[in-house]
Amino acid sequence: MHVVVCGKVIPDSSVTLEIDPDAKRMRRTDVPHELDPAAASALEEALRLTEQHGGSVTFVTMGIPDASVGIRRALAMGASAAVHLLDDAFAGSDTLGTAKALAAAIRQQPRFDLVVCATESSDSYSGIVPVQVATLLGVPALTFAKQVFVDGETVTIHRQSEEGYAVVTAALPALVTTTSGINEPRYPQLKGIMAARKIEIQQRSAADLSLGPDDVGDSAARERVLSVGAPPSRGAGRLIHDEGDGGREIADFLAQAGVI
Amino acid sequence: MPATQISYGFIPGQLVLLVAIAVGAGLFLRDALSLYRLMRVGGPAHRTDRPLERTRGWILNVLGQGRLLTRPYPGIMHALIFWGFVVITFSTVEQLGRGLWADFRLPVIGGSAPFLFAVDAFQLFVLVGVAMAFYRRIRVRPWYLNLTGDAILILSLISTLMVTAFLTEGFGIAAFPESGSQWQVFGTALANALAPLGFDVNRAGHVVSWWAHILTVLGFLAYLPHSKHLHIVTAPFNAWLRNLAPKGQLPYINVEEALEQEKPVGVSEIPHLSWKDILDTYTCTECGRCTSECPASITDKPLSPKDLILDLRRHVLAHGPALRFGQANGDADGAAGSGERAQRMVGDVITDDVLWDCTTCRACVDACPVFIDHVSKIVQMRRHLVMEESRIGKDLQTLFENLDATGNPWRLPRARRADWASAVGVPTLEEAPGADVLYWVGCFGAYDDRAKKVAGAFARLLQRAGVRFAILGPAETCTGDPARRAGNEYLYQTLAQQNVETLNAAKEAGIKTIVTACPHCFNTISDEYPQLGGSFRVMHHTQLLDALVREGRLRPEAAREEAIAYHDPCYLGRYHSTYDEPRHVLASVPGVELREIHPCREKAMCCGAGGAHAFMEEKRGRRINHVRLEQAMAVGPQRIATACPYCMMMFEDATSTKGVAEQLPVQDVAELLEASVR
Repeated sequence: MHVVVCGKVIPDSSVTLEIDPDAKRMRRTDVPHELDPAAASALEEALRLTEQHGGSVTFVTMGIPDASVGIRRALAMGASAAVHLLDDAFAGSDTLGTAKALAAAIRQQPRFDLVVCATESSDSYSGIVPVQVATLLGVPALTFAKQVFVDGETVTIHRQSEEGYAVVTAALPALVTTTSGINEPRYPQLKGIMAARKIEIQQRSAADLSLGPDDVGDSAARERVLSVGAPPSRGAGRLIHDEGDGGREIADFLAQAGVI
Repeated sequence: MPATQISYGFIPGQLVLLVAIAVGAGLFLRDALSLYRLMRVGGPAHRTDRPLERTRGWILNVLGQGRLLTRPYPGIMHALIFWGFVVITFSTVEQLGRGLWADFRLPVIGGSAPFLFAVDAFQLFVLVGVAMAFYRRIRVRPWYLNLTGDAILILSLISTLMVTAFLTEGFGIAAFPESGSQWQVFGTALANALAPLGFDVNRAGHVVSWWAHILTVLGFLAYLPHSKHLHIVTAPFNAWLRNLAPKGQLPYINVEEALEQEKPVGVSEIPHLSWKDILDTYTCTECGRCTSECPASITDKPLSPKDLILDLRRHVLAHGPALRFGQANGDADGAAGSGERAQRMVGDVITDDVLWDCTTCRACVDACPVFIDHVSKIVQMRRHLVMEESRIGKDLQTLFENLDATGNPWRLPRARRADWASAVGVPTLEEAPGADVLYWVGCFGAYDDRAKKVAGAFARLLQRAGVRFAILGPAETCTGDPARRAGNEYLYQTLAQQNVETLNAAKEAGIKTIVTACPHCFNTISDEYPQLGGSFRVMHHTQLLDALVREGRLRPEAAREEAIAYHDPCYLGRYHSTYDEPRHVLASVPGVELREIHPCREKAMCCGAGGAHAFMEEKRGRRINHVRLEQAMAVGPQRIATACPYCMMMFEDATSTKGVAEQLPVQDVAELLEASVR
């Protein structure tokens, strides 16, 4: 079974994000990057499936040169190959442009049985790309998986919902998106870290994927970011010092809010 | 007339004795040789450097019984038996010799008054020691000592040896008065009591006692390799071959090279142990001193350092011989087939929980009278768990990932490492190129709100004393201590190599001394960085503050009429023997009354945070920091002082959980000094 995992490499969570007001984007230069923890979960799930059923995992990402840090991490965890979509022509792609590039890269694989993505990335949270990729590849998309099972010709997931979960099955090849709590991604073994250094990351340009300015990049983007700003800061909370009537004050507050 | 001068039917006594010696000594040599060969299954360890220092320590601790005597009752008990045997062994040789040649005498000392007197006296001392040991094992029964059949058998054998020696002497002198000497005080007294039995009975008594004595000696010899008493053979070697590397230095391994050559980077099988590790396991006397001082054992966790060594010994004895066989046949995998069915050394014999319980506080290593090194074995087995198996908890994984991403344990931005310093006006090395002291702040001092206050107090004291110092700011990164002690040697080396480069550059820029308020950073820079090409003069802040107070550059004046209990951090005290400097600084504050926590100094109990435990959840047993706080509270202090951010965190956590945070504040030595300096 060959599994492709699509994921992002994002600014490290230690970084205080800054917005570039002209580009209406996060500043990405001189910022440490990490493999998106959500993508690490998707990869972990793929690795567990191939460990059970045999096969290999290829990690595919689109991103700036600094993304190599996260790609090495994916290889260290156990992916056996990695494709880095790296081209200035990709800059400014919207979700559909991104999905076209990823789908093209997946189609170039000798074969694939399953694509696994995180439900959404941990930096921009659009949650659209995976289903777009599935549509472009013409395979079923099984989303919000909190458990994934593969059985020869089919994939079955437990699809998380507010009430509980639904059991959904589809024929392979298919695409699955994983929820963030699906697993604890592994800490790479040293052997893995060392072996990852020796694997060549396959870089692909837009031309390699036969994509032009009408498909990817700023020119093709149909989504426009109109403005970007920091969320309004919440006002300071009210601190109640208990001098005997603390309980009453809290009860009054909750009554006022209509909670009790 | 020795018993072998008598013939048994047509068999001469000498022949019987020769056969007995051949059997006893032969069995001993066979088994000792097999243990020696088994030891050679272990990997290399270089332990013959600095012979003078080795011999000095050997004289002090083997002949002088130094470490044993740190505990009076068992110390005196053991010293009586040990010194007794040193003397009596000469007499035993003479007894054996007389069995072969009736007029055999040891050269020089044989038959001399002091020798005869000493043997008699020490035989009695040994009996006193054995009685003390019986009483301790059977009646006192310390919790860390197991009442084993082996122990009782050994004590019984020793008693038998002494009693039969006295009887041989007593009957002998009674039967042949001319053979005795007045210097055999107890033998002569015994002979006088036995004399009325008449010549025949006394002669027969002498023969029987002599044979009983000699056969017990030879039987004991044959039994030695199967007993904890083997330590009488191995301990003198183990003490001389002890580890003389700096206490805070773990074994170095070139991780990348090992991986390329497909060699293990951690210990998970017997051949990964060094020969010295295996000798350690042979040498354990099961005295339990290590366990009695281990913070994990004290708080009811699975780790007992004694059991760790004994479990390793059992494993080595059970599965080592097959490996040796495989090796001799030039087939290293010879035992792999049976090895698969056998228990895994790391995971089954030594469980993961046991390995993770260790705080690397070194109390066990310092307590061991025969110089067994528990901590390095534990860390090397952790290396296997971390680097080869990735068998680690979520908290450690987060720690490693944070250290890897940002060089600090909490994934806080590198750029904000010097934020605390701008408020205090502390320059970075770039801003103050003329500095000669580098203040290594460490992650706690740089990011942790509580430790930042200590960093501020220390920096202001340096400013007041006119020390030209600077910090590295964002160029500083975690020393790697928690990574190394948790077994992530690879991550440690990545962090450490970067720091060694930074610090070497600082040295070239004129830095003469590095000072840090964190004993863990202190230990890593001073003891571990030399392995990576960085040798620096490092001081702990309490050492520098003590010097500044003594030189009069800091004058504590404001009085503090308080009883203060000082807690010794492990990596400052046991690892670097720095006990007095922090106490001097505290005592320099007028009005301060120092209270000593029991145990303190060399025996101080760990706060529970060492060995990466500052970043791990304590899931098993009682909380170590609570037990230590109770020890501190027992001496009724109004304040607790310490000199380590880890200890600070653990104590404050304990005082707030116990609801005594307001009555019993915890402060760093530097903070207390600053409050007094005008």
